[in-house]
Amino acid sequence: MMQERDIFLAALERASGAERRSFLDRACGVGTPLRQAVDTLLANHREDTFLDQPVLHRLREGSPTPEPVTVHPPGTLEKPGDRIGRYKLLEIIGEGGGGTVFMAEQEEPVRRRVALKIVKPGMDTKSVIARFETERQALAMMDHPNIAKVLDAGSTEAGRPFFVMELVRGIRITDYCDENHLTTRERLLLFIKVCHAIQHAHQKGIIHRDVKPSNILVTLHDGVPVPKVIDFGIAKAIDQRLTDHTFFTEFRAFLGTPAYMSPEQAEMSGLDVDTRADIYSLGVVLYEMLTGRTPFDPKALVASGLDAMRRTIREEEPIRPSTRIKSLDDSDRTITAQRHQAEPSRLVSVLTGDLDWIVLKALEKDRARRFETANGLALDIQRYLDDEPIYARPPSALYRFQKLVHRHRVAFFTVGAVGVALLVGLTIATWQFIEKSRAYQRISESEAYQRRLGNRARRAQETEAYLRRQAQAQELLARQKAYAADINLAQHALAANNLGRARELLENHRPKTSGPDLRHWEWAYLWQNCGSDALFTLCQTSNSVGTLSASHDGRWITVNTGDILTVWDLRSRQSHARIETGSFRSEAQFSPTAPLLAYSESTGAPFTPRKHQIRLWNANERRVEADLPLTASCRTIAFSADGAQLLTVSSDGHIETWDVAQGVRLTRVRFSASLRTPAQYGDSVRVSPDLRLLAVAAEAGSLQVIDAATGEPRWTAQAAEEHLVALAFSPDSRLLATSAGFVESSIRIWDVGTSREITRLEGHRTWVSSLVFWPDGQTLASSSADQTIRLWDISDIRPAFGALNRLARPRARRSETEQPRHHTTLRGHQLEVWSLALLPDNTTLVSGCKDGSVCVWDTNRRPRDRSRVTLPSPVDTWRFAPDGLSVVAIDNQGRVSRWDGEDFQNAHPLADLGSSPYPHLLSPDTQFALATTPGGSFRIWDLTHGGSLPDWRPSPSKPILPVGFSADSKNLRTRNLFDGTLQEWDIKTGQQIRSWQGSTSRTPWLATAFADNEGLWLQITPSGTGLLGTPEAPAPIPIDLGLPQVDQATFSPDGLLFAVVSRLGQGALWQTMPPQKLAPISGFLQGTHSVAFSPDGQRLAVGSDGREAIKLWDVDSHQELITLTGEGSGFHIVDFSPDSNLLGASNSKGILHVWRAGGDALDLSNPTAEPRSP
Amino acid sequence: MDVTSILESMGQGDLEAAEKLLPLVYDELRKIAAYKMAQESPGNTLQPTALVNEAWLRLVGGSQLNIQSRAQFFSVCAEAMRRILVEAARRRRAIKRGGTLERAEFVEAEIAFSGPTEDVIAVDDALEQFAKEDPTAAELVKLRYFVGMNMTEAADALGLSLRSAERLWTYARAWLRRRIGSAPP
Repeated sequence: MMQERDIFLAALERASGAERRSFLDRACGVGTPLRQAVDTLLANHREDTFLDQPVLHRLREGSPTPEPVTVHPPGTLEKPGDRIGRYKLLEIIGEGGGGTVFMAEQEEPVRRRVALKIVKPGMDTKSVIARFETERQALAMMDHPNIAKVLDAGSTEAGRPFFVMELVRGIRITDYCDENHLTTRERLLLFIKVCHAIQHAHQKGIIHRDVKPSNILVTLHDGVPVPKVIDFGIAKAIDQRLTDHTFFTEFRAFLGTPAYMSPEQAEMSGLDVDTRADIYSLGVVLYEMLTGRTPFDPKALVASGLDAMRRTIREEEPIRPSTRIKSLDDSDRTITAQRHQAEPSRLVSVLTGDLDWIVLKALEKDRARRFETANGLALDIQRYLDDEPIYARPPSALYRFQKLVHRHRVAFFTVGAVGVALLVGLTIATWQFIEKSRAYQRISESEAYQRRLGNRARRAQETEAYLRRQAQAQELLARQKAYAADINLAQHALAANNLGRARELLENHRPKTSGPDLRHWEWAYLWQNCGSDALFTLCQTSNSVGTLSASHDGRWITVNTGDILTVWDLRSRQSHARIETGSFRSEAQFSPTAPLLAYSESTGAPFTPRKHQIRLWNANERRVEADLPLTASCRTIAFSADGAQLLTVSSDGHIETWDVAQGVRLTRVRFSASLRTPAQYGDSVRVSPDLRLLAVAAEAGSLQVIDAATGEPRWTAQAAEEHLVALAFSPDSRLLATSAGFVESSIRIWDVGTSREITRLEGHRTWVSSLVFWPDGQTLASSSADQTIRLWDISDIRPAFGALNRLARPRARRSETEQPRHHTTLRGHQLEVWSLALLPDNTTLVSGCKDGSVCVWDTNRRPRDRSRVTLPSPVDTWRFAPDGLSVVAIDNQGRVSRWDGEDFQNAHPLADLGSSPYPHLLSPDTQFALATTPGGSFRIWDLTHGGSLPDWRPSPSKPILPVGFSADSKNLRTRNLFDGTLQEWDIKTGQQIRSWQGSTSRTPWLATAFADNEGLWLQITPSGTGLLGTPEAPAPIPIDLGLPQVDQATFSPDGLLFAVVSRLGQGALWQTMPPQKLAPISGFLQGTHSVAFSPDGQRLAVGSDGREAIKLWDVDSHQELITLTGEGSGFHIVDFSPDSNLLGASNSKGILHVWRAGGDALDLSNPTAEPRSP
Repeated sequence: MDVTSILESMGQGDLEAAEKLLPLVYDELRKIAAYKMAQESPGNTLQPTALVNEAWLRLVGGSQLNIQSRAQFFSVCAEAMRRILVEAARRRRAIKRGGTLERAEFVEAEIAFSGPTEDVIAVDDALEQFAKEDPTAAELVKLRYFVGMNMTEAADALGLSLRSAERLWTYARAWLRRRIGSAPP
């Protein structure tokens, strides 16, 4: 048999025909079995896709279906009673060249009558179906009362294509008009409806290609005639081209008559047929409706043969409708007129003029001269009916003359002169006639003019109302966009801890006296995130707070705002004393042992030398104890630990020590350093707690450590590129912390003994204004212009000893690349934080801000993560309880727990469902949990009352997948994996309530969604095609989202919209009926996995991956609003709590994050409400 | 017995070795498929080629095998895959004709529903005959049609040149079409 193969392959290499035959004769003789075998092989050789499509690849939705292997016997004719797929043929309701139309009964998923058209034999079934499939989605998009839907297509067992359509029990439009003696006006009104239907299809990108009266059927609805255009998409699918070969055999048989065919269709010039071909056909239909005849006699057309027919359609100008009537013989004319309920002469005059031109414009040979759209045609007819000037105009004489010349070029040149002479004579005669009739015309024109004026006024009003509505819509959209932009900015500001900016942005969108309130979940969420971590705001002064100092008992605090020093009582939160210091920056320090404040002041009249001194002031008594004179302005004050001594440094380089009790100077030395110019905040000099050293911020970032006793420098280091801002010694005087500004944001820690930099603390976003060590040396607090205060754990930072000092250096270098040091961030200030003071309880921190506010913080109470909470253990599926106070969750072992407490950290076990390969489900009211037993039964647990409802088994043999509970938690919806049936069951009784025929796609990853409205559902396969089941439509509507790998779909609460998301990181918002994409949902870094509408339908939450756990969208304006970050990836469940306060998302690892909007933040009765403190 | 040594003994002419290998590969493929169906994120579909390649990695791992053993392995894979698919198709046909599905596992149910059963069974029946006449060409069809390899992969797996594989393919298609066309419906 190898012989057979080799001969076959060798034969293929020879061209067919004689060469191949002679080769075969030689190779295997004539009439031998081998020859026969090779011949049949060659006959079965085809360059096609047979077997090219692997079996399993078909799992992929939408991949091209391979050619069927089965070879169909040639056509046997179907007859009533036969069955085609799920359709049972009932009776023949139409038979024509194109095929046979049956009334048929569809038996599933719904029992209904349909029209089933079986295309006549001889078509290439595969390509007919393929062409139909390409238009199927577009056809599904058509939803118009005057269009009969094409529902299905397929091939019969005999291999003939068939189409299933909405059954229309009607008669041809022309027959309807004549049988019912419709007036011309009624006919035009009916025709306008047809134009609108065609226009609708054109807008969906569908050209009918075969518009003719037999495809426009009229039915009566409550006595009102409703035209229905049928057969959309079928002409395209059948793609019957007019060729010489097929003309008489197939074409005529199929189309019946070419009378409705546009010149470009007749011409077969390869010119693409576009919507204007349908306009032409509409023109023919209109012509026939008005005159009872088509422009060209169909019988004559066909009889004349193909070439003549083409020429006629292409070149012969149709006779005007009015002329056509006139040219009829008397009896025909009378009959035609009677059908219009008119006298023959009246009919002629009605048609003459406007209607003639409208019809002829639709019938233009050059499609560029036709009405551009079906609507244009309808509008012109409406204008005619409204007595307004029509758009269609008679072709100019010049145009007609040109066409005449073009058509009869040769004849024209020969008889040119004669023709011109005749034309001139005719023109003169016409002119005289027009002059005479002009007077009559003026009268009727004036009446028409009045009517037109009235119409115009009415239209102007409508236009104005429309424009106003449009302007309002535009304005709203602009506001929505501005809102979205501000929300986005506010989120960024918050991420940067810029609470002030965030609050300002949010404040902008509190509703004004007029205008809509655009705020929603995201606003409340951000607003409560703007809340301060501070315990309270002590005061709000009008000047920036440069320095602070707290008394030994924590009762008093000085607030230094330039030349005013205010002493506040922290217990009563009242101002205690107000002191004018006469200096733009006064140094002030409380004694560590007594309520004694030492502060510097400068006095003196303007233009005289100023007097500088330190005043010792008893805060309890509000009494001055002593004044210590200085030679220059004071740069720093420090008490000894026992409060007995005071050390001052003045700007002229004096270091002085004082006996506090006596109020006398003890020592005085000079040091030489150029102190940097003092600012209102920060330090230019600081004294070590043991009073032995000074740290001096010199110019240009130079740091000097000086022996306080001698004034001699110990060491100098370049501590920053810029000038130093803050200095602080550790309590043991062995570490020094420095910061610099305005570009640097790090805090450097120095070993005082060795002058080495030990480490840097990185975290602030900009320069650090103030540094405070805790007395135990374990914590360093810093305030910064980034509006935050940070608490750094520095317990591991130790100065080096002796010989090790030198070794410390490389380590110090390495520390720069260390992981960011753990620290706590305190937020609450809305501008640069300038100053800090720690109270003696070593817990309470006081801060001063550039905006004049002073805040008090409890450093033991770590700020709660307001942005989100995370459940302590992983969950598989979950729901918010209806009251929004708890979460009911099922873990992957099937254990159900209720999580409550402020942050959902407390678990209360409710039930143990056991593990199951099928998903567990929770009812919306969280009362019920569903588990599928290994045997395939459903068990519903009552989580509220304990125990479970009786098990039931929806099907003894078929795998039934639970899809979800109904919104009222009373019913369960399932999908039959075998046949796609969707069923709804009463969970109490296990009885089936209703069912629908869902998608028969076998993929387990159908995104199935039900709307709360009964009977509205959606199924999307991973390829992005699917079905939309609606209570109105008799069968599910096929839809194509154009979006592969759809993960989830959901309806808006009112069912008017639905949203889908794809693993490709895209999604879309759709209008449900008619299905239409409204907006894309995009902009994700990674995939999108889940989607949920807020309970009021105004927001859409989309679950994605990792740092983009959820993105929130405004449904109305399609604006992206906010991104909520999470941990892990694959957030495949996202949901709002029923009260809209909470938003949750869980991911593939079972991490459930809950984000909270400040419950009452949107309470409009309190417009100035502060964000709630946690 | 491990797959590598089975393949080696096949290489030495042990014809029974193939009989031992087939159940191993068959089980492995089904396990991988089941695992994939359960674990793979929604939206992904089974790629037979990927399944077979994964089976290769898991069963043979890093062992260095000659081209012939490799070809044998893929032949066995193709046979296993063919059986999985055809069994599934037959089961589906049985259900359509009123039979019941007995404990069909999820994976197989899914596979069963993915293709037009009649085609699969018809091709398989014809292929059985074809294998008797031209085993290499039949192998090629298995790899292409049941495993989903492209021409280059299949040629590689069989140790053929691309040109030879293409010629075999042309022949196989004509042969199978002839066979199916003449089969009683």
